[in-house]
Order: sequence, then C-alpha cells, then structure tokens
Amino acid sequence: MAIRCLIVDDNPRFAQTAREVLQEDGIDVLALAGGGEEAVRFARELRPDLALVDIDLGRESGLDVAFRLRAEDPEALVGAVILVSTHAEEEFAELIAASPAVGFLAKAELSADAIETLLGRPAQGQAE
Amino acid sequence: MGARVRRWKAYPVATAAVAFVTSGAAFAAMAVAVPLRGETVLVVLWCVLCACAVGVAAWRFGSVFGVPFAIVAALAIDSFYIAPYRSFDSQNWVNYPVTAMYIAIGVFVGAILDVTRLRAAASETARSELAEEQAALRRVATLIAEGAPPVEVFAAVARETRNLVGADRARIIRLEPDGTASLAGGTADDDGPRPLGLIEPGLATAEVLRTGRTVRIDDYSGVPPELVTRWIGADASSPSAVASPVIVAGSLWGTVVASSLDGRLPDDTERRMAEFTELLAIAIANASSRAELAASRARLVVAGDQARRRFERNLHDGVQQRLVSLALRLRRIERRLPGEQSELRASLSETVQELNAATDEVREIAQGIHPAILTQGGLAPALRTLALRSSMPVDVLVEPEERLPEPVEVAAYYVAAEALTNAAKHAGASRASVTLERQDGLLRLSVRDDGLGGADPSTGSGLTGIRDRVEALGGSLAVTSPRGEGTVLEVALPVAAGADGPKASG
Repeated sequence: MAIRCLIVDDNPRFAQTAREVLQEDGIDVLALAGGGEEAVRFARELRPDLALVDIDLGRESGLDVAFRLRAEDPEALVGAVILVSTHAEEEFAELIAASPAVGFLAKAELSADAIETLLGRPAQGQAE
Repeated sequence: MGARVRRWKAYPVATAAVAFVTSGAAFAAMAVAVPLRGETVLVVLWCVLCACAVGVAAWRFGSVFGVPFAIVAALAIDSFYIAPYRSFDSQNWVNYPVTAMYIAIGVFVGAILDVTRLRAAASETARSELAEEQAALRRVATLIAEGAPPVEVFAAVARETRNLVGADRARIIRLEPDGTASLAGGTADDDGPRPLGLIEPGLATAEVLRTGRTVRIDDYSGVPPELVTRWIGADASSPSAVASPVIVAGSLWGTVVASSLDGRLPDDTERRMAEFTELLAIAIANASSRAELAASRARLVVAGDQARRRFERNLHDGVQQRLVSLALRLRRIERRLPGEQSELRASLSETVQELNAATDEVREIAQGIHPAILTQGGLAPALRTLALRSSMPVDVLVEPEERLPEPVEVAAYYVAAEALTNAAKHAGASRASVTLERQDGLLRLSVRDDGLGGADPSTGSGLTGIRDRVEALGGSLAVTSPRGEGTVLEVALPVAAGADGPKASG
C-alpha cells in the first residue's frame, strides 16, 4: 500500500525532482502545492497520508502551513506532516519540535526510506 | 511694556500740548474756585487738595502732567491765598503771559522727566527680556550639547517660547515638502510628533506662509472647529495665536506658534516671538539636521539588512535548490544503475557526497549572511538556536516571545551573535548567558561571559559595528569588561515608536 503524499514547496524545480524521486521509490505523489492556500485545498480534496512541507515557503512559513494541515487532530486534513528544508535541522530544531510535524528531512536526504522511518513504517527495501 | 515704549516715541508735541492746556485750565479753575483769602485753616486744606491733584496727575499721566500741576497749584496758592504779599491782579495783562510761561516751563520739565523715566523703564524691560531670552537659549543649547534627542529639543524650544511670551501653549510646526505640516514638538502633554495635515487658510501658519513674517490671529471664528482642535487644542474656547517663521538655511523650515486658549495674547507677543524665533532657528536647524542624520543612519542599517536578507533568499531559492535537486537526480541515476556497474556507482556516490558538501557550505554562508530562523521564528527561537550552536554552554533567558519590528530583531540578534563569538574566540569564556526583556518601550538585551574581560568597544571592530547599528536605531550600548572578571554587554533598543527609524521626529 503506497503512501499517498502531497508536496508543498514554492520551488517548482525541487518539487518536480522530489516527485520523480519519490514516485520511483513507490510513493504516490498526489499533487504539488506552491503555497499554504493551495496545500489546504488539495489536502481537503485528496486527503493524503502525508504532506512534505518546505519550512521556507517564501512569503509564508511552512510551519504555519503545517499547523493548518494538522490543525485539529481528529479532523486533520493530512495523516502526517514532515517538514523539509535546504536548511539544516539544527537551524530550526526548536520550531520543528514545537510544530505538529512528525519530523524533519533535509531536502538532500529525501527518500522513501527516510520518510518511512520517520512515519514509523517498516522500510519496504526499495532499491539499495 | 511695549505700549509704553511706543508712547514715548510718539511723544513730545501732542502730550505736552495736552499737559499745557490741562494745567492752564486747572489754574483758571483754582483761581475761580477760591472765594477766601488769608484764612489759615482753609489755605492748609486747599494745599492738601492741590498736593493730591498733583500726585494723581503725576501717577496717572506721568510727570509731564505732574510738574505743571504742581506749578499751577503753587501759583494759585501764591496768587490767591498768600495775600497781602502777592496777588494775581486780573486787571494787569502781564500776569497772564507770566502764568502761561510758568506752566510752559512746568510742561517742559515734566516732559524731560517723563522721557527720561520712560527710557529708563524701557531699557530695564529690554534688559530683563534679553536676560530671559539668553537664559532660555542657554537651556536649549545645553540640551543640544547633551545630545538630547530632537523630539526633546523641540519640546524644550516650545516650552521656552511659551514661558517667554506668557502664552498658554506653544508648538513647533514643520512644513513638509508635500504642502502639509507636521508637529515637531509642543508644550501640551500629547504634543508628540505627528502629521497635522494640510495648512488650511485662516490658520496662523498659513498666514506666515503667505506673508513670510510674524503674524497674529485673534479671530478663529471662520476656522472649522476640528481644525482649531487639531492645530491649537481641543480645550481652546476663544483662541488667539501668534506665529513666527523659522528660517533655516535661507528657506522657511516651519513656524513657532504661541497660543492663548481663551482671550487675546498680549500686544508685544509678535515682537518677542519674532526676536526669539530668529535666535531659535539655529537650535531648530541643529535638531532637525540631527534628526535627519539619525533617520538616514537608520535607513542605511535597514537597507543593509534588507540587502543581506535578499542575498540570503536568492542563495536559498536559486543555488541551494538547484544543488539539492541535482543531488537528488544523481542519486536517482545511481539507483537505476545495474548491479554490475559497481565502479561507476561508487564514483557517482562520491560525486553526490561532494555535491552535498558543497550544499552545506552554501548553507553555512547563507546562514552567516542572514539567519533564516530569525525570519521564520523571530528573536527568541533565533537566540536559543544561536546558543545551541555556540561552542560553550549558553543560558538563554528570553522574556518576550512576541515578534518585534524586524530592524530591532536583527540588531539584537547580531549583538548577541557578536558577543558570543567574542566570548568564545577572544575571551576564552567557559560559560555565557543571554537575557532579553522588554521594559517601558525598550528591548533590553544583556550578554555576560566568564572570560578574560578587557574588551574595549572603541578598538574592537566587531563591537564598533554593533555600537553603530544599535545607535542608528536610537539605542544604546554599554560594555563592562574589567580585566579578569568577564564581560557584560548591555543593549537597550527602543521598540514602540522609533522601531522603523526615528522618522517621526524628522
């Protein structure tokens, strides 16, 4: 059962690459959202298991978007949120800890294995 | 006092003629009114009455009346009472010109006395006015020399003007390039810097603008009440105002307006205002250029910060994203390679690692240019993150978790960053603490360490940069660093009004 995922990133180049990489690893990338509004709309429509949210969305903060997507737990729009960034985890450690996200992934480390580990699912052993 | 001064200038002819005629009439009246001769008691009573008339004339109208009245009284008594020694023979015409001559001499002497007295009084007034003005100017100059902020200087100038002319209120009004005016300072409690809007006709400042000179407005009945409220005060029932132009570097900078809330300002207000404002122009020009300098300093700092932020954003959105995407793509290729291509795989893996190292380097550079967490989370999380990244244990005590104006956050962050770097690098400290609190419109940041001490903000280039940054925002920096006892760096930054640079007072 593939993870159904929404990518929220204001950088189309990275979002596209991430989609290709994750699709290949067997993750079902449902949509790419460029900002918070779009993310909420897609999430409402598609109810993904996971949203990968860039912390730095240009004008808005990915942390705020994370709160909106996971606002009230039982009715949450997405199953889980993982924050991603080109920044290092330690730069945002405090904000990540205070957010409703299950964890953080550096963009360079993005892979299905890393996502599954964060979600607490057994790795499916794709590639490697 | 001014009225007196003008009266002696218009002096001799009219006043002296009136004195002469009145005294002549007084002589005739006295002559006619006396039916008795030589009776001692009546003579004494009459002398007392004459003395009173002379006293009242001198007191009410000046010596020009007093002296001839005295002569009249003397002549009348001499001629009519002190008979048989002498008597006014009305049949002998010579007596008339002699009497007239006496009175004329009296008027002349009186006039001389009067002029001298008025001159002395006028110069005494002028001297005390000058002394008051000089004392007022000295107070303003002292304030400027002490480096008081322009807002305070303007308030002081307004206060001195009000006291000097005895008005209820005074304000310093600045003309803006767009044809509006703003309040630079005033004596009322709520006279902070603020825009006053268009200079509507009928206002004292509008008249100054039109005529270029000191003007008086005693009738505000034609001015809408909300304008009177805005320009003079809500408590003005029947205001009167005098406004003087403030000329700085040859052009009209603004006006000083003294006003009375109810009733007319004294007659000489215009003159005193005009004189005093001329002297004040230098103080106002000084305060105004200091305000402009402070504003431009603040703008430079803010522009610098914005440029850094933009640079960081460009790095983040451009190079960093590209590098990360590239690394992901290469990894994808790496995984697609068939198992027998192990050599190529190893080489590709190495390339990806190199690429990630490059990404990390770029990230470090970007972080040094502008810390992303400051934009994302604000000062409190940024300071805690800073503490975590430090090579020594740092206690962070942050009280305000709310977001502050960006220039203030950035300044406070750089102060803390520089202080912690110094503590670790130069002072060899083993511990440090950062405290942040908000107090009375000020953000207070202090950084302490247990290092070597001996830091000098006048030589250390890092500290100098920080001082410049803090002072540009209207803040202050204090460094206590006795040798061997660690360093305490304390910074106070204004948050409430001056957060976006001291534009308000400029």
